[in-house]
Amino acid sequence: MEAYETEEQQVEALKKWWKENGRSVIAGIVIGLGAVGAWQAWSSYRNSVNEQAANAFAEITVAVDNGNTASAIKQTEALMETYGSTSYAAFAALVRARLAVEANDSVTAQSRLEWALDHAPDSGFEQIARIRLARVLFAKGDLDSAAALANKGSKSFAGEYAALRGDIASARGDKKAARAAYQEALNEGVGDSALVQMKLDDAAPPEKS
Amino acid sequence: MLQAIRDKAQGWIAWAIVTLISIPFALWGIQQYLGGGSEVVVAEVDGQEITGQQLDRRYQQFRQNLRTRLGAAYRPEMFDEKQMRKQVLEDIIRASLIAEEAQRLGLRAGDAMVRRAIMSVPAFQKDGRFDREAYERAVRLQGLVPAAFEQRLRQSLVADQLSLAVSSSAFVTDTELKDSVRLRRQLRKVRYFVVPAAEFKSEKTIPEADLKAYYEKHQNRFMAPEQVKLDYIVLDVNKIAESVKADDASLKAFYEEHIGDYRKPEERRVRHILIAVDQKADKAAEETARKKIERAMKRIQAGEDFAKVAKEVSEDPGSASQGGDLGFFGHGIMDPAFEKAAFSHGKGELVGPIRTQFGYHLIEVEDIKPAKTRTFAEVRKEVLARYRKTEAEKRFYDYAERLSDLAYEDPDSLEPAADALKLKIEHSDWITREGGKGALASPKVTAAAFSDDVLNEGHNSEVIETGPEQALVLRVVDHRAANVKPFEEVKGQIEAQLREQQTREKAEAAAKALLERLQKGEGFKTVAANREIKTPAPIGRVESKGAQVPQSLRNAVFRLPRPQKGKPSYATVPLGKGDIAVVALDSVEDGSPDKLSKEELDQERKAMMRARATAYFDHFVEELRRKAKIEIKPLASEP
Repeated sequence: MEAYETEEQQVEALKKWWKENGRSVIAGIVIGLGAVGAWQAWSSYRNSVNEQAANAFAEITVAVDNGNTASAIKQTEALMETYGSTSYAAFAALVRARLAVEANDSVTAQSRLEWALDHAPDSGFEQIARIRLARVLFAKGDLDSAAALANKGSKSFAGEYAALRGDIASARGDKKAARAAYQEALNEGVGDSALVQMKLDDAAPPEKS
Repeated sequence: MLQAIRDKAQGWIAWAIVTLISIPFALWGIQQYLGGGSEVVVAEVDGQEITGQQLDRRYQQFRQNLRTRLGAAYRPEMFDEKQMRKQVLEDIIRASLIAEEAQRLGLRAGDAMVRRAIMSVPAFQKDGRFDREAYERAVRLQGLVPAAFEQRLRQSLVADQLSLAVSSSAFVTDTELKDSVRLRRQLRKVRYFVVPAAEFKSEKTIPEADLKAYYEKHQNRFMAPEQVKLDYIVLDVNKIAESVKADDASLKAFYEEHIGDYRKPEERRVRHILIAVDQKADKAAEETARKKIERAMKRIQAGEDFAKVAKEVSEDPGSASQGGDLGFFGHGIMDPAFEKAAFSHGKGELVGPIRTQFGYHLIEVEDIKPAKTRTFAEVRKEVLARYRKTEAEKRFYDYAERLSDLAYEDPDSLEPAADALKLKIEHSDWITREGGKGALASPKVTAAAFSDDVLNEGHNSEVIETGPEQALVLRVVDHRAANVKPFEEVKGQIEAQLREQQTREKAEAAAKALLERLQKGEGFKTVAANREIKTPAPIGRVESKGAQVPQSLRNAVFRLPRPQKGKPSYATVPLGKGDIAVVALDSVEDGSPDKLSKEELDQERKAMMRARATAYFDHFVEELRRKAKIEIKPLASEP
């Protein structure tokens, strides 16, 4: 570092430095502040969009609870359209699928579940959409597509997948595979274990004599 | 002068001062690095810490809830603290996983949503409407300020959205519903007969060597628990009361002192007529009511019967039909203005009109029971009992204190205490940790008797309050460790057990032989021989559907394979007490949705949906848990 003789020389050097670098410093500060501001504006915008979507979803759950099916259907479709980028859109698609199943409209149920599967906000909802889609396909009689979906899944939902594989095998008349699947479902843990146990017993082999 | 300071500041004094000042700066905050202090971390969820304090607070809440729910049945020793703390920690982790995920998914609860939620809480309402004061009071009761409460509420609203997304979209397809109905509502037709254990009972004595061998092999089945024999002194208010001596003078003084309790105040029976008018009524309504009551008053003054007029015009729904009769009442029951009027006029006088909060009244005093004081002679017995009880209670605490001192001063014997207080030392029989009889039944007694100080050191216990009016001090005089009961004592028991086992084995063998004959194709009737064949109506999975049969039989029947081409499925089923049923499953009738009403089907579907919704959310949380980095410190479940 060079030593300065007098204060005048120091000031002179500073002025020179500022002339050379001043613009970049100011530009840097402006860009930095601008980025922080833009980020804040963006996240506050995201929050407000999410809050609106949350309100819309709350209204949907109330409508579903009250059996207000027609308006619930309208609201779910509207939410998916207006707030398509939020997690709530996937929730709405799942609810829409349920309403379709209850109205025996397997085409809509399938399409909304496929949408929910593609737009699932996390792996848990992805699993839920997937197994429900498989259930709808199974009910429709499309055993192969259902089986394709049911053959892989997260360990957390293993019991539910196994129970579905049992149902599929059973529908195909393969009692042995059904028994193995039901047993796996019971081991992995499944929602309605009493019913799965009944299904397992029902698939018992005939008595040898 | 400045120069002087400057010169001195170079010396050793300055150095000393600087060093002294720098010590606190150097050590500032060091305890946080040393890991002492109160912030013990019991678990970490994705880097987020759960502190011991948080766990403690939630655990205390959990216990408090348990205590409130169980009431008198609550016993702290009923629960394994370690287990419970583990459970509570699991709950906290689960909640924090859900909160974290909700945030990651961008779930939000806006101000409007929070406001709506607050306004719908009944505890924050007054007369059915939200009340700001009630809200702030209720929040403060929880030890929070509104802002913190709203923050918490926001979090829970967001977490609820996640579970709602899973549960409100759950469905059950018709195929599944049909399957469920088919199985759950299935009926099965069976025949069975019982092979009773009694057929195989033998009275033959079992050789002692066999009994002994069994005893040697299964010693752990014949353990006698640890037991103690106690000496104890009981203080009982009722016992002390019996010994309280009372002369007439002190009884009389007691009577005088409590004379109020032996006085029956004046009571009056009154009829009234009410013309109802609200306190806040406008002038016009007030005027109409006044006119009405004055008209009624004139009728009575003109000689009409009060009761008759009351029946006609009174607007008091309770008394109008009784002619306005309100029965006897004392002071402090009626509206003050009404009471004043009723108690300040003679019998048969017409009083009124009087304005109360209910409206205008006319009153007629029907009957007067004057105040009456029962004499000392009349109540002597009552006074005596009360006097004794009161004195005994006073002495009880004094005795308890002296007993405590005496038993402590002489910890190796109860006799000095018994002599000084003229109380008897009582002796118990053998007592286990399950507790003894009477005064010794309290769990506090066994806790003290088996405590280190009393059991191992041989000291007197502290004074134990076994009830509001009873206390005792005890010491252990004899102790028996847990041991194997002597052979002679359990010989009979072993013999009975072995005999039962032999009988059961014989019955099982016989039933098995019968089953084999059936499977080879012999007829059910032939195989049953002279045993009675039962043919109940088709049975369902649960008792309410179909015929009544033993539960173990029902369960076994529903696990049997379906009969093939008219050939029944056979099985043997133990019914308990050694009896065995031999059963033939003849036919299976599947349940059918067509046979159910729409309501029944709906119920079935809803039940399945609910079960599925909870299960799926549990799976969902499991998925979160699998992806998260969770670390539970080994000390987490230590209190």
